[in-house]
Amino acid sequence: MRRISKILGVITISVILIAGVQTAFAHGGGDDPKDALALVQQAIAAIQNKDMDLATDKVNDAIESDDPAGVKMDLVKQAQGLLATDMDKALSLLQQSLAAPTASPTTVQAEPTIPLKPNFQGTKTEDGLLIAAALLMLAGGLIVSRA
Amino acid sequence: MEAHNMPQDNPMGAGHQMEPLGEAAASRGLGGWLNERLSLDTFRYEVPAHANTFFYTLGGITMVCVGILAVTGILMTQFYTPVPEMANWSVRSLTMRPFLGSVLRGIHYWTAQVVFVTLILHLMRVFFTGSYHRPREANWLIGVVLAGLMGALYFTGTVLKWDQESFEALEHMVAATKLAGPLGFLFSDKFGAGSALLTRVASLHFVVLPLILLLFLGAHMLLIKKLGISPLPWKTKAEIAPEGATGEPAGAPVTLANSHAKVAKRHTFDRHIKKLVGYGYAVFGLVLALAVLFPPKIGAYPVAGIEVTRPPWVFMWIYSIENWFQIKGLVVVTTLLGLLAVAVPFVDRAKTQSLKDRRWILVAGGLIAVALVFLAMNAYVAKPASHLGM
Repeated sequence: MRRISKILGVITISVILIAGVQTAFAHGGGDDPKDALALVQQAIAAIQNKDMDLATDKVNDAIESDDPAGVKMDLVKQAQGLLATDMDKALSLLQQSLAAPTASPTTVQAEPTIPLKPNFQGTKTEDGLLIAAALLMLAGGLIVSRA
Repeated sequence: MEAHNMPQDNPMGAGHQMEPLGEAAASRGLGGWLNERLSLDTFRYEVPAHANTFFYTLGGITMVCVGILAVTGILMTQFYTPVPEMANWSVRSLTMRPFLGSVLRGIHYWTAQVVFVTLILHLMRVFFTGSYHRPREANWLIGVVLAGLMGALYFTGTVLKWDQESFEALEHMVAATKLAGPLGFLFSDKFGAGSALLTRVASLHFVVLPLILLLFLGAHMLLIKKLGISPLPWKTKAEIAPEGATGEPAGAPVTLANSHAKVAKRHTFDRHIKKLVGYGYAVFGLVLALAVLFPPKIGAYPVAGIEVTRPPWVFMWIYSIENWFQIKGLVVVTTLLGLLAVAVPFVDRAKTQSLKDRRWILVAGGLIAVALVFLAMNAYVAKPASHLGM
């Protein structure tokens, strides 16, 4: 009992110490990119992860950037006006504003800046797999109950 | 120390071998043919009745799931390119190109989720029932290492898909390992210079961690076989003799030998394996259905310089710690939790596995579990925040 109390005490003190030292540094800033290309890419990622405040900041910074190379700024300005009202349209405009995908081959999935969200389509293959899954679960249940 | 905790006094737990099948039986049918050649009787040793209950099968179910992960993982590596420029694309390619590629990835993803559910339940069962008591302390420690390895495998697997979540996870890992001093050397630029960190993480996920896991898993199972299944912390009905059965009044505890004779003859380890086969079918059916109905997504190619994602549910509790105390909090709290887990069998000095004797450690464990759930829930509602000074 005493040992448990000691351990819990150590944890509590450690947590308090960390809190005292670290909270001041929470959400601290770093060096933001200056070029519009990186800022628009960050804005796109922010929208895709539903952080609209950050997205707005990044779009504003991109528009004010001195280095607009690789970005169609007219589309970014259009997106700026839509951020608060039509997130999907704003996202689409920002993606179009980038001259070309920078990183990956495009033979399979066109745009690497677009998340891939496969969905259940209800095809015959999928239906067959679901039936197989149900049979497997049934067989498993039978084996467990009879073992 | 109660005598029944010792394996030598627990013939069922110590893996008492039943009489081998007779020659006639051995040669009968396909089962007999296989038994004669593969000595399947080896697995027909007696175990206590509770060994075949669901909660005492959770470790086995986890192991079956690890098998599914290994098979699907080997198949997936045939399609994966572990370099930053191609990784995200190759996962997309796997999802869209080959027949059932999306289902394959879905099975791997959902099995990983199931593994963590069964792993957590198994850990809680072992803790709750005090199965780490003498002489099983070493096996508890091996179990703690296994849990850590599974966490590392889950984490590295998350990084491999190389989307925003993966990228930020890796950034956090690099920041954390910098604080870890010499322990973080493996993830520094000085080690493996010229090779992308993603490639090194992939080698950890594909080769290094599975090999270490296999080693510890083997030791874990060997010790379970040698030390036997731990006894229940409470008396079972089988251990309470009915009136007249042993010449004792009703309700009197019977000896293990009696309960062995009455009950355990019907409970053997091969039955445990049969149950695991059943659970394996059921789990595979479940993850197949989930893979078809809810195929896992993959995010866009990552962008540096922002933090906009949350970690997967397994690590969600850490996110709250980071929100409050930054990366240092992550390192300190996870280290403390690991040390606490290691300390459990040495802190709990109760002489028996009885819940009553161990109520304080059970309360402490319960409080930690509740705190972790609270931290995870808090992280779900919190807005993504910067922990790396981005």
